[in-house]
Amino acid sequence: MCGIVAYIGDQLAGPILFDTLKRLEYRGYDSVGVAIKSGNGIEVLKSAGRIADLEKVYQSRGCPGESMGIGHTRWATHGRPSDQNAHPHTSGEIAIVHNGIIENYLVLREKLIKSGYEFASETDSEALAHLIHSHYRGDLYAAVRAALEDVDGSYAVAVLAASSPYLVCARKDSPLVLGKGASAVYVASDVPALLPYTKDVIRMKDGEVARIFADRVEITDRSGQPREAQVERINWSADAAEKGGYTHFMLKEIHEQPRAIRETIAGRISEIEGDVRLDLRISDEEIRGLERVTIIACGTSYHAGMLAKNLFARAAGLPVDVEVASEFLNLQVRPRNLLLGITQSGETADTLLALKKAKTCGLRSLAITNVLGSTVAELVDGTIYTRCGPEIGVAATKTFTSQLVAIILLAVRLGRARGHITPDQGRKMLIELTKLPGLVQRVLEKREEIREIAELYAGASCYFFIGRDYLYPISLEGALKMKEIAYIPSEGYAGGELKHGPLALITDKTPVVALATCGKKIQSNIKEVSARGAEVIAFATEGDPDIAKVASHVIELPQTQPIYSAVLCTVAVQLLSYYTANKLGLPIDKPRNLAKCVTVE
Amino acid sequence: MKAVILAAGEGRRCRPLTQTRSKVMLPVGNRPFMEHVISALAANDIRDLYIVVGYQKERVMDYFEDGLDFGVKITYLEQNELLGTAHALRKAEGYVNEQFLVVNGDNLIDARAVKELISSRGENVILAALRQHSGDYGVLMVQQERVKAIIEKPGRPCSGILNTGAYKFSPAIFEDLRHTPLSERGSYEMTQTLSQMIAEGREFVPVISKGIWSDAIFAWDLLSANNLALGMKDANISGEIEVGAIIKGPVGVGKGSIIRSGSYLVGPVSIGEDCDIGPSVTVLPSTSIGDSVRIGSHSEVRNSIIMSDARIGSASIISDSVVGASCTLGDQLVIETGPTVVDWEDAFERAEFGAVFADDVTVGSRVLAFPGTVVGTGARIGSGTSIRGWIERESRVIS
Repeated sequence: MCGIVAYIGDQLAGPILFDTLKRLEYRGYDSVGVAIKSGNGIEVLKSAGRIADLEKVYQSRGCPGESMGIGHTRWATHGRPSDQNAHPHTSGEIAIVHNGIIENYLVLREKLIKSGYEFASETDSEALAHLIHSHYRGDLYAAVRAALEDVDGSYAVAVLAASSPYLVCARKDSPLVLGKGASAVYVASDVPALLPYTKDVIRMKDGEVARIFADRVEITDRSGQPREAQVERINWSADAAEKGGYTHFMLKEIHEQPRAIRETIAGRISEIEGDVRLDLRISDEEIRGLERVTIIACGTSYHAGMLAKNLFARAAGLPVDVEVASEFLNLQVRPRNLLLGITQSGETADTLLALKKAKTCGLRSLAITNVLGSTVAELVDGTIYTRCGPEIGVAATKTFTSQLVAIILLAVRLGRARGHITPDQGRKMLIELTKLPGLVQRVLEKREEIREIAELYAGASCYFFIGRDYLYPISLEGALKMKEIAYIPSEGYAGGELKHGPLALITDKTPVVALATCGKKIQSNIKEVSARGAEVIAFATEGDPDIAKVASHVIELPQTQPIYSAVLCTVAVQLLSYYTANKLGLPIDKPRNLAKCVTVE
Repeated sequence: MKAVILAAGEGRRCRPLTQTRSKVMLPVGNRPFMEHVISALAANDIRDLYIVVGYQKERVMDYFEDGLDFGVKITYLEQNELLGTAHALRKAEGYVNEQFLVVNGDNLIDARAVKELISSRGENVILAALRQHSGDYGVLMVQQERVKAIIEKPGRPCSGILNTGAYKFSPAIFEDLRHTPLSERGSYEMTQTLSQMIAEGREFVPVISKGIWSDAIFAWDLLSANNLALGMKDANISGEIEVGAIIKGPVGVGKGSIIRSGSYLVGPVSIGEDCDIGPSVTVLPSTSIGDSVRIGSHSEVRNSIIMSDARIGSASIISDSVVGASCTLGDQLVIETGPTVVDWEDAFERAEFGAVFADDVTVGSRVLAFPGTVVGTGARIGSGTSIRGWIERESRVIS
């Protein structure tokens, strides 16, 4: 997803462009750029990075430019974000921002190269910039119209030229709205970005081209016939649209998990070979020579790392240490050790610091992250991206389950390379993996059952989560979710550990969530706590004949292999803590004291 | 102009496919019904959409989100009690202040039909279609280009001007909606509202559509809507076609999909993203295959809908059938096709199709499905069995 903005008026363009870009930030924020008219030229600032960072650069340069400019924000899903690929793209004195796909850009590119244009990026948008420039004879509006005649594809585009007194915008199949202020015109990809400035908007229609002056907008079709601009008064609030009908980003993101998992798998598995394709940049020979894996992570990512510990041991015969990044003080350098950093944002300060230490010792390293081109990718040999899109809710949901999927992919790859699992075992694991999105969907459909239980126990002063094997990390994750969004003190424990202390805390006032889809042993742990009067909420495999005898509430989850049931249990505990927090009326997307990406140690 | 899309109902008669999603989300031509509706509106530059959701609303919201990817802006309105279409439309009161459209999210409609509706004059306009049908729609009695009466669901086969359920109204309708009487079914239905308005002498202009309008009453009717929908979109090949695979006619293959050698595909066929088809699979006309579908070697699929994440084994023959999302069908499944009579809630419906599998059905190997087999969500069919008739959700067929 991308967003474009533009401004022309009587104020300094920079601050307004940055502000409207921030309102489009939920559409993506991995690279950003602005072009602002400045004297006889154009000031272009762009980079792979966050809007706030570029804004600081802008301020440090003394807020250059005048009252006319364009801007762009981007979230790369395929292809990496880089300074070259960031918009605006320039050609001579012309700068453009573009959202959409130019389908015939290879043909255009070839033609333009023949007529002497040099390309700085691989993007289709740059071809459009040069194409407009090739038609430019002092009349920007005519040049854009002429250029669009040659273009197949979709576009929302805003064009700025140093010698033109107006901006030009055009759209086809990509959204673009204009906002009319008292003495300025604002342009953005969607209405919410404009709402702080104006409630009067004009939605551009397909095939329309607009000449935008500070005090007026002239809209025509592509042949130059004038069209009447219909001004619409918006009467809805700024943030309603972004959540797509959900009350919280967290609930929306919980529901996005089937799609996020499908995306994370897409194009990476080959069932026929029973293997996984990952761009690890570590040879099979090196993988065979590995003796140990050290995983470094924080928070929710640390729980993903704990799951990897059991899985790598079984699937690849590799012993694993999992370290909380901030406690990773003494790096034991063993030569055949692989380091794996897990960080949603790719910017977690503690994790980065630990990886840097490892790098100086010459160890091979990998990272799992959700943000293309983030700092962590620079530090390591190979990166596995989870393809979730931006996560807005502070509590990690879809990024965690996608991390689990990435870990499973990596485990199969390591296992196959080391000959620890056969092609057929790999194939069977992968077949089950392709079913996972559908299974997660079925867990989501249990939402009403889970909501009822959550509301029943929302008043609890303490929650326990227990699980064994692959589900032990998930019990920790469940307790963390309950703490961070429902503010209920919670403990996650390995089932067998209860009798070594915490059982003393169990009373009839402490609900216990038992993750029971992975083996029968958990049932004796359930009996231990129910004997002490605790109410037990069990997440169990459907058709389990015994669980109802020991638990007070049973939520049945679809049958699958134990490793995948960890993902299903995760979704279930996410819903449980969400509905608990919702019942308590808490600010779910922005819990107190917490930030999404922790860039301090 | 704004539009209200009614998408709160389940579409009960499309069970078992609607056990896990509402009818608006059933795919025809590889896109949910409602996506076709939204594209038709957007093509006429109607981009402010109010979608009334209820049953399985999360599925709708997860797919369409805020509408940006579909070129529209969506506001969701919730109808939590399913009390009929008139009650649903009342949820949009206060959001529209000029003439607006009302369309069903679960019909197939094209841009031309929408254009006819918006360009006809009159305070209240009804989109109509000339058609023979089995009596499941309201029929319009028209005199001098005005609707004189609406006969609700005559219940016997008839031909005539049927009410498609797409309207253009002025905001004055909300006053009338408030006075709609409760129907015998215990709900507030829009046809009641309209009949009452006609009785009061209010004018309704019928516009008989030359565009595409289609509906599916039962799950197996999706196949004909699918056939129509496949003709509505251009077929592009973005995926990989291995050497030795033959493609004839309009065949779309989404990115990340692979068609393995020896396969033979005859369009119209639409294949989604990240599918793995073949080697040596035959796909014949009027087939839609969703995303991440696997079809094993030597299978044949004809005139069918295969939804996302389904897995079909080797040497299977599937025709005139609907296979729900995340189904796992074993090797050597044969679905016979032909005329049949389906037992639908104590009535018998004539039909001609192979089988309908709802979501998450697991089928062992060497299974034979007789014509008209309908299998509910999550059912498990053991190997070597022959199945026929209705199989309820979550049931186990052992032998």
